[in-house]
Amino acid sequence: MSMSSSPGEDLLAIEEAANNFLSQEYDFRRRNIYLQGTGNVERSLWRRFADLGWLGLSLPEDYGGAGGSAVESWMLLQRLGAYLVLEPYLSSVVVCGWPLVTHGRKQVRDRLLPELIAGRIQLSLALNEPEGKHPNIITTLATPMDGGWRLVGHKSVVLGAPTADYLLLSARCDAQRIVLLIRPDDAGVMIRPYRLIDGRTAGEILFDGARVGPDSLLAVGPEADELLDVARLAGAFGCVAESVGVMKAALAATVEHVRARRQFGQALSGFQAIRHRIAAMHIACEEADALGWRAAQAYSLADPKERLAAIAAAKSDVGQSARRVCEEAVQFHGAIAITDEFPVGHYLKRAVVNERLFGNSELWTEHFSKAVFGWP
Amino acid sequence: MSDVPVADELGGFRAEVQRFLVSALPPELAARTKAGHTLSRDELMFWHRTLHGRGWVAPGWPTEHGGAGWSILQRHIYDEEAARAGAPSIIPMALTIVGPLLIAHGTDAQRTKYLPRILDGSEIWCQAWSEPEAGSDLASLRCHAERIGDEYVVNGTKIWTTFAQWADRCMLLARTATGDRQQFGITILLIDMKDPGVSIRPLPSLDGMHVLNQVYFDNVRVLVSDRVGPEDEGWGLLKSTVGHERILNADVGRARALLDRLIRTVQANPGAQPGLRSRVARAAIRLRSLEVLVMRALDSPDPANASGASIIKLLGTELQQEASWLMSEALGLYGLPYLPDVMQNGWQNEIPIGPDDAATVTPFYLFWRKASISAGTSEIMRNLIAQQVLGR
Repeated sequence: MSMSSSPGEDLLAIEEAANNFLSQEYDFRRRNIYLQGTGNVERSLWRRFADLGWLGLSLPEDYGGAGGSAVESWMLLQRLGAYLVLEPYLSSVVVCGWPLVTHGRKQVRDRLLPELIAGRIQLSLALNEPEGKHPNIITTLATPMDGGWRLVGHKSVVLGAPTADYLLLSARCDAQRIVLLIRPDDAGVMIRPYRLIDGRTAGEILFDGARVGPDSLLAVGPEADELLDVARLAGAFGCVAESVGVMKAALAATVEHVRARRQFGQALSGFQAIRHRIAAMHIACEEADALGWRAAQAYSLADPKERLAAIAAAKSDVGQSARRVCEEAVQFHGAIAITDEFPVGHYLKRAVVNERLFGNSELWTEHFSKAVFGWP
Repeated sequence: MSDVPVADELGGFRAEVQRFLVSALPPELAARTKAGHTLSRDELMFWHRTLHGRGWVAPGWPTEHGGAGWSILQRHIYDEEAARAGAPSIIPMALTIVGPLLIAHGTDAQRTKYLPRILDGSEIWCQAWSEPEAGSDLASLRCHAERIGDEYVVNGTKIWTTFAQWADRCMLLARTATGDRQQFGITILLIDMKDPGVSIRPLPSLDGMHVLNQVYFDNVRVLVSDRVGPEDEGWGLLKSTVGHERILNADVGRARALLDRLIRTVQANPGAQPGLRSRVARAAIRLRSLEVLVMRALDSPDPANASGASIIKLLGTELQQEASWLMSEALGLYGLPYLPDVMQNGWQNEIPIGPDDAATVTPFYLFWRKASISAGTSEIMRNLIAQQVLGR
């Protein structure tokens, strides 16, 4: 397998451009103002993301994208994590946009992707269910009726649901899985919106006999299975990339703090016990970065098994280690990091959410064992 | 969890505590406490007055000052039973720090003026110690008090002051002199929070709740008669009360209550991952060792200063943090929604989002990162332990 060991100049340019924009428009003070908003995330910022080329960064040129691969998004997603960006980039572009490049009914994809890349719509994947310990178990029912479907079920903790213009809904139809494209304002669809602990929006979606027409079909049977698998992998990868950005930001803040903070007549950075723990945080960041980079490169590989293994390895490791680095960052900062008006505690919140979304470390360790060793 | 075995003669005491809790603790309040809801001032003060009515609000104070006069072992038994029953933790500062300090070092006039109002709950106290630049290195504090006639004039700021927004009075550590040793020149003053020179800035925590504050003192005047002990000698007086706070903060009862709740959460969730179950078991094992360490400390001649006290604080808070994290993990995705109204009031007329008590869990995990920071950080505890093992 050939891969470059680290990002080249073109990729670093993406990082720099993102830093330039976000440090101006998304510093912690502005972010808190956005957070106080209605929950209907500022679409003006979303459209600027489109203007910057972010929404189509890893989507095909045919649809108005930049035609990049996952490594371009690896650079950007880290920055979105580091700046604690609240917009539904992960849920809309990565989790829904990426699978639509290769999966789903062509008429629907051809219509949605240009709109998504241009910043005119947001999407959300309604996958999880309240009882579904395993994401493959789907109990929401789509019963065929008058050429369309009648929907009954409950989707839980759907990231980005409150602001989405379209939902990609997974359901069961006879013995198969089906993915339907529905609108949140369709009759019989109810959304209970809320924020997650890290400030991003999510919601419960209840279907009580909602009727949708034949046009809403996106994929059924094996095609639906594949679409959902690709979406889950993309979600896992997106969480990894964001969290690597988060942990690097937490480490940077901590390094600055221990250099500046003086107690007992010297800077905290002078205590050997502190130095060793900073070293451990740095090592964790380097390992996470390495696994995330490998996962990003694996997106270009033909072998789906190696792609799965690379993403599973990264999600398994980064989920936990990002949280631990952020817990250490809080501990080093002391009580100030327990307050909501200081950024370090918010890194921890973001790491906690990303660790759990799309499967936790334990689940992805199992996926890894299965993909690499064939262990059940 | 099983109780740590205690001498037979205390079995009767435990039964008495259990009877009291059954009769005096309203089930709704116990349920709210167990579910981790943020309790209101009224709820906390209701329980304070209930304990006062029974004569148990100040368990460690001597009886001649209105305390229960319990031994430290009795207090430990009470804490265990209270945690198990879901009794709230009352606002602690006046009872664990200010009261013992006044009893040991205050004047008769101070005791007469303040102790009865602490006991009956008519005055709430806060303690203003830490400063933005003086955290673990508390003795480097700079909030300044200048003696002018029969008054001190205080200027400066204090931070992480718990419940300052409710407090009527404040126990302040102020700098009255500077010398070679920074521990010298610290004076304990009792402040009236209604003084026009006192102002408060709320510091919402990671869970969105308001407990912590920064307090500003702008030419606040304090009578010399509200100084505790001699001028400049407050540090020594304080040391005799901090050990006290430390062993209470270890709060094994809290660790056990969290672990009990964790086990209930996992049992209610048959799909819990094997790895999670094994980590829960590991936490329960660590609690068992902690229980014995606590018993050893309690059996020592001076429990508050026992060599195990730092270990207990360190392990106890780590265990609490681990239990609260595992509880969050056990909830899966339903550990992620942030629902501040539900954290305070529970679900009213709506269908709950996720399990009934889920809303309080992850916010508590976030807030409780505080446990390894306040009342002596884990780093300070390790320093103390290393000193005991290695010498200075």
